[in-house]
Formats: sequence, C-alpha cells, structure tokens
Amino acid sequence: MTGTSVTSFAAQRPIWPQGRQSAVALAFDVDGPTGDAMLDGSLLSNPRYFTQGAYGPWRALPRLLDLLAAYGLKATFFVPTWVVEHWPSQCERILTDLHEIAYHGHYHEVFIDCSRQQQLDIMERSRGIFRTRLGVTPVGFRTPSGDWGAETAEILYDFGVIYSSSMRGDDRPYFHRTPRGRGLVEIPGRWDIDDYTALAYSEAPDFPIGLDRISGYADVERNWCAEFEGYHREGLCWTTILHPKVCAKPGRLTILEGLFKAITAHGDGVWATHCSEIARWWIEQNPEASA
Amino acid sequence: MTRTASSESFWPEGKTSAAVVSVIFDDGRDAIAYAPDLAHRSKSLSVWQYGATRGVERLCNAFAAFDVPASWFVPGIVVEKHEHLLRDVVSAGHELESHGWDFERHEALPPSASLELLRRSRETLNGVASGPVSGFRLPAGNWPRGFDGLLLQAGYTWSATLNGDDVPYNHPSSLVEIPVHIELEDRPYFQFNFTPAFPKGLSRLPSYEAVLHNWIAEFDAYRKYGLCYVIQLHPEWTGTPGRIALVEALLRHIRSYDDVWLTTAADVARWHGRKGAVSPVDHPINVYDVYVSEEQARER
Repeated sequence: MTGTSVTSFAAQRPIWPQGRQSAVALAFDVDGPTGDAMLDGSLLSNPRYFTQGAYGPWRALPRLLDLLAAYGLKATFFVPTWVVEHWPSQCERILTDLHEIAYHGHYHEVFIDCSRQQQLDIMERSRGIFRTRLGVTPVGFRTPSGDWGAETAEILYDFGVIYSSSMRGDDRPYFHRTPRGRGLVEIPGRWDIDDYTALAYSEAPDFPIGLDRISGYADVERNWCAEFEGYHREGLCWTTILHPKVCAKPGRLTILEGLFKAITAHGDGVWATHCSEIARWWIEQNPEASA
Repeated sequence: MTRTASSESFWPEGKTSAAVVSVIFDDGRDAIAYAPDLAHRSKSLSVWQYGATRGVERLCNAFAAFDVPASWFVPGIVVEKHEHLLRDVVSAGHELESHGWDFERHEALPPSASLELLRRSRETLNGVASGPVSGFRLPAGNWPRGFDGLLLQAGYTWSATLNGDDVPYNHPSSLVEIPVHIELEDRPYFQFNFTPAFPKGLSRLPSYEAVLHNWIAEFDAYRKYGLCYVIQLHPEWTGTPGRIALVEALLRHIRSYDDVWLTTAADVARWHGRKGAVSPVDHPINVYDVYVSEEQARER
C-alpha cells in the first residue's frame, strides 16, 4: 500500500479480529473414493481406482491431522457423508482435534445436475449422517464436482447453512443474494491452490485429461507459499482446496509442512481459523441493514 | 507422529522401513495394447524397443553398482522373445515376477481362461527365473472381484497392483498386496511419443531434477513413517544415458541408510504373509467389498 497516489481503486481492506492482518481458512476436501466414478457406477469394477481414493481417509487424513496438530493449526474439512459412514473413526478425529467438519454432498454429487428436491434430499441425508454418526450439525458447505444450480445458495440458506466456500471470483468473503435479501456468506477459493492442478494423477480414468506430468514438489511448495504470502500482504482471506488423498501422501506432506511453516512464521498476524469463524465474523462486521 | 508401522517387529532385522526397486519390462507390449497400430510403425515402436536394446543392461549396471536386487515384472510373451536377455538379468541376482501373458484384460475373460493365462505366464517365467515365481502385477484392465482367489489357484502368493495403503496388506484371501503408487513410477513422468501420442496430451518432459526430488522426498517420508517404498522403473524410460543418473542418485540415497530393508518384493510379501495379518474392516480393500455388496443389494 503506497498511500500516496489518489485513484478510484480504493477497495477497503477487510478488517480482522484483534488487529490481525489476514485470515486463513485452511480447508481440505476428504472425498475418498466418492465422486464421478461412484456416481456413474464405473467404480464398482475398478478396485484400483477405489483404493486410490480410499487411501485418503485411511492413511492420508491421520497423517495430515498429525501435521496440523504439530503446527497448532485449525482447519475445515468438507466431507461427503459416504466417507463418514465408511470411515467414522477417522472422521471423528477431525472433531476431537477441534477442526470443523462441513457439507460436501453424500456421494460428491454434481449439484448443478440435481433438481431442487434432489439437492434438498442430499442435504437432509448428509445432516442425518453427521448428526447420528458424529453428533454435529455442520453450518458450512463446499459444492462438490464443479458448479451448483441457480437455486442452490437459497436452498442452503433456508436449510440453515451459514456459509459456502464454493466460488472463485473474489479474494475475500462476500454475501450471496437471495430474492428475499442477504443469504449465505461466501468464502471464495481459487484453482491456484487446488492440489488437483499440480499433483493429482490417475490413469483409467485419466486425470488430467491429457495426462500432464505430476509437478515437482519443490515448485508446488513455492507456488502455494507465494499464494498465501500474497493474500497475507493484502490482508485478505485465503482458503485452500486440498484433498488428503492428493496432497497428504507421504512425500507431499513436506509441501504442506513448508506451507504451515510460512503461515505460522507470521505468528498472530494471521488469523488461521475455521471457515465458520470467518463467516460469523463477516456477519457480525456487516450488519444486514447496511449490507 | 503416528508411525503406521508402529510395532518394532513390523520389519525384520531391526529395520524400520522397507524399499523395493522394481522394473516393468514390457518390451512395448503395453504401448501396443493401448495403440495397436504401433505394431506397424517401426520408428515409434523403436522408442519402446530401446528398453531391450540398451535400457535393461544399463539398469542392471546401475543396480550392480549399488548391490541392489530388483524385482522384474515381465509378461510371459516377452520372456519367450527375450529369454537370453532375461537369463542375464536373473544371473545378475534379480527376481522375475509375472506381468501377465500379453496385456490381456482379465475382467473380459471367463475365470477358466484367466486361470490358464496366469498359469502359462508363471510356468514360462519359472523356466528362466532362479526360484519359483510368486508375484503378479495386473498388466491391463480392471482387477475382477475374486481375482485374488484365481491368483492363489495359479500358484501366486502376492500382487503389486492396487493402491489403498503404503504397507503390505492382505486381500480377503491370504493373497498379499504390496500397494503401488503412480508418482513412484517413471512412465508418467517420462513417456513420450508423437504418433500415437504418449501421453495423449503430449505434455512437456519434466525437469529431471524435480523428478528426482519427488522420488527422494517420497523415500524420506516412507522411511520416516516406517512404510514400504516401491519405485517402478522401465528400461525404455530411465535406462537411458541421460536419466540413469537419477536411478543412481536415488539408489545412493537409499543405500546411505542402514535402517531401510532394501530387498525384493517377494521378500517383503513373504515377510508380511508369515504374519497372517487380517486387514481391518475399514481397510480400503474391505471397504471396497462392502461398497460392491451395498450397491448390489440396492439394485435388488
């Protein structure tokens, strides 16, 4: 911030609690084997791909939780409830370690392809599983597999969800609009910090579609740290779109460790917390009348 | 830190982790199975034939320099074609294991035909190997349900095909699985041919230094967590003058630790098999069975 030139570009920096410079909402999508191949049934005959996904909740998640604990960092975990049903004890540890757990569909459904009723059915099924298996009612949602429908934000708001972390178009929270006024808080992310773009690799089904190379881990660490530092410098709100089965494989935990070191190096300058805390803060800071 | 291999006796001889060097020697049958017209394109096919011509020998020399016994997965048809070359590999102290017969897709075969090919591959390999062949890596297609039983019937005791873990585990039968991870394979990093296209998006070749860094980062983590590291090399992709240095650097690094059990896949499978361990109910291999049963019940 130079503070000397006068321009019409005068976006206000967000204000964070206790004079913190920036907010970080580390977030992980624990998809396990759910997703497109489970939705279209091709996964039934593909145990190699199933086990590749199942590695996430089975092996990667516990080591990621260890690493977060070692750095005293809080995170938010978006978990399809199929994963909760099949790995309940691994998911319970997310809560006992004082992280947040939030909605991510049941089978990682594509919300834009679902009717209003289907979306509501998924949410109700997920809420039931979270309540009975883990004893919690989540307040957040990240849309699985691509886009959501024009009505989704309103459905979620009416369902009692207070925030989404689904969009890509900003670098600080904002409010979704509904026909009746203000809706969900949005905590947007960016592809730049989605581990699929750098590290995910699978054949049959092929990802990436052209089978591009797996990136060098050292480069990935530098990019992710650059993303965090850029957000911190401008006092914004940074969230991540990381998947334990991709980024918490043994050698890749070093990438995350580099990132966690960079975040904790700023001490109290960074408000590293749950998405729900950021959403509540945003609601408090922006009384509805003035919004 | 949660060590996956928490018990001190998880690995033998006081070792705290394991490492396996494996070679996948398909002599281009893998590529032809994917792009059949490759068989009539001599220039392109020679990309893969380089493995038998130069790569096998170069890999063997690197292994000898670091006294590393490797596990070679070879399709039966390649054993018939390159018997002399593979006898040299065996006499250099390496083990041969099955990579099927000729890139058949077992999910499309009746079990009797699968069984016949599995036996034929094992018998052909036994004719060249120094000891009885016990291991199998699925060459193509999907792993059919109950395939572990067929492998046992055909005389195999372990597989290195699936994922889901980073230490050996048991199938619902006694078949041992040594899980493999694609980031520890050279082919996704280095395969390249214009027409037919490998990889299909013709991605640029990566930095060699970055690939080595990834492989070493994974090794260091596998060692730290007490896991079973399985590097998977192809003679045509890393048995080259420019890339053999990556293999040498990796082996030098692994050899610098005396707490790592650097051995063959068959040794690891035998060691694990003797424990008679049953995979927990929430192990990926068991959750897969639950998943298929649940979906079948839903359809009824």
